[in-house]
Amino acid sequence: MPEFSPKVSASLARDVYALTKENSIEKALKVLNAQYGGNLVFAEDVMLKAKTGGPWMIKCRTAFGFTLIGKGPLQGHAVFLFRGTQYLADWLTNLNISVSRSYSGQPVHDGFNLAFKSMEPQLKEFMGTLTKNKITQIHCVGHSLGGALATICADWLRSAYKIKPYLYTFGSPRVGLMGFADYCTSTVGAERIFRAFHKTDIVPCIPTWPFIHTPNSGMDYYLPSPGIVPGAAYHSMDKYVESVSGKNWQTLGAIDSEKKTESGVVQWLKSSSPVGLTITALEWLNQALVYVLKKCLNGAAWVISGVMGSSFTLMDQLAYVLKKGIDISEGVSSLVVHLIRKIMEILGMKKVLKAADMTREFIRNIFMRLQAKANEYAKAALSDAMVKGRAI
Amino acid sequence: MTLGDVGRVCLFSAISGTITLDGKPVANARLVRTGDRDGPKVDETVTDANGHFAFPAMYERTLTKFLPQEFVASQQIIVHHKDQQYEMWSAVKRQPEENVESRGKLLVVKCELNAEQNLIMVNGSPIHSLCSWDVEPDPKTDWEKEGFFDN
Repeated sequence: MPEFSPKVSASLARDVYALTKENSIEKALKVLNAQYGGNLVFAEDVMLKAKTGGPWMIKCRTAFGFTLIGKGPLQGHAVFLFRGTQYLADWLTNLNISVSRSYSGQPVHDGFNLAFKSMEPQLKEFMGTLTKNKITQIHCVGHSLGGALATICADWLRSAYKIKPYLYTFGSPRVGLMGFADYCTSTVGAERIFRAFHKTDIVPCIPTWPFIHTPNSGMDYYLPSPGIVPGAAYHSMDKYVESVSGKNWQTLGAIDSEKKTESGVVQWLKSSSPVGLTITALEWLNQALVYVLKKCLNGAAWVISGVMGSSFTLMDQLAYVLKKGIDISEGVSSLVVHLIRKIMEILGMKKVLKAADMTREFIRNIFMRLQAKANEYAKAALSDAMVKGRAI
Repeated sequence: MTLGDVGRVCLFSAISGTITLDGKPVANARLVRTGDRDGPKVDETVTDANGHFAFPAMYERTLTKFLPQEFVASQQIIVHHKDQQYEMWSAVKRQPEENVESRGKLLVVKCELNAEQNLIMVNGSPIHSLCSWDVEPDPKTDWEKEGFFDN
């Protein structure tokens, strides 16, 4: 498959920051030429537009992007390159995240979706020039919020244009709910999605559940980084470039990510060994939650709002689904009980519980507390200026 | 790091040097420097009789150093000399520390206003300038040898 090497995709995700800050397209092109040997350039119409004072980058209040076309060995390839701005932290720690539908109709983070939609007209324009530029392959690349936008873009290309793009993200936040992750992974193809993340990068940990990562099957690219608590240092694109340099995707994919099998997840849920609020426990909890939700939904798709009315928040729905799981069967019920017990333990609430005690309201409250805790945790890591040099 | 340094990021390192036009020192030229991360900061200086100038480091206070956010600041120095304007320096600084433009050394430059603007990459930061200084640019990738695709 003609997927970009980790070095190329990481360099692009890093260089987009400098490229968008250049004061002319000529300078940006010089940088592209210096970095990629003249093999990645702006399309002629973009250059032309820039000459008449038109936009040469795709810009909205919260994000920037570029479309690039390949030359020489990259003939036939196009790159959609995204970057975010400083609003990321605000978005991610907002407790009132709302969800809206992506182009394919799946539930995604409303803020990411809006940012993408405001860029869509310019991307559409570029799509109209594919034939003229003889483009057959598209690569979507981004870091951080740019990774979220690249992911939504990949879903858009697949749904609106029936194109299977390649998708590369570095330290991307979680973009959508299970429905989106499922749909995007299966239609774009897990083998075309390269999601790289550092173990202690805070951004891939948020937004918290029920948001999950794309792809939700196949490979992801776990990069070890020091520490046991997530923070901001290993979110930097310089660090990502460093971590992937000289390696191919296969080597990166082989790094032990402590992959959790279904039986491992069940074992963790049922085990009585103590857990605390560590990144390892959160990773397990995340996997367990996805596993239990799947069991509760019993193959049905995750539905948002609709019949439940707009006063239902995501947490309400989560509680609703889990409560339904309790009523499905003894087996699923015990999984839900184990899950809630684990969460209570992580939250430092010690209480023995039976399935009968788990009203929807109760489950909802537990999740609200968990989310508040996780957000508090993320916020501390994100914005506490004094955090450096202090143990958490 | 002391408490007073918390949240301080360097938009433009201290920069000094000499300016020439066709090899001759340019006296009394006005230099306007801009650093822009989240809104422009501007300062100015004038060259002395020997064409020498010096700017102190330009800092800004922000909490973003501790946020999971990329540091991206544009830099520019325009030289105003005899009704002419020369873009002496136009760069994007990608690390918040001082002196990254010269890999930790003091940034001392020699600039020729009639030179062609030249681009070098230092730590992923593009610097277009009319200047030369003591720095090793990033190594160039041999794409023909290395290829763009995964192997």
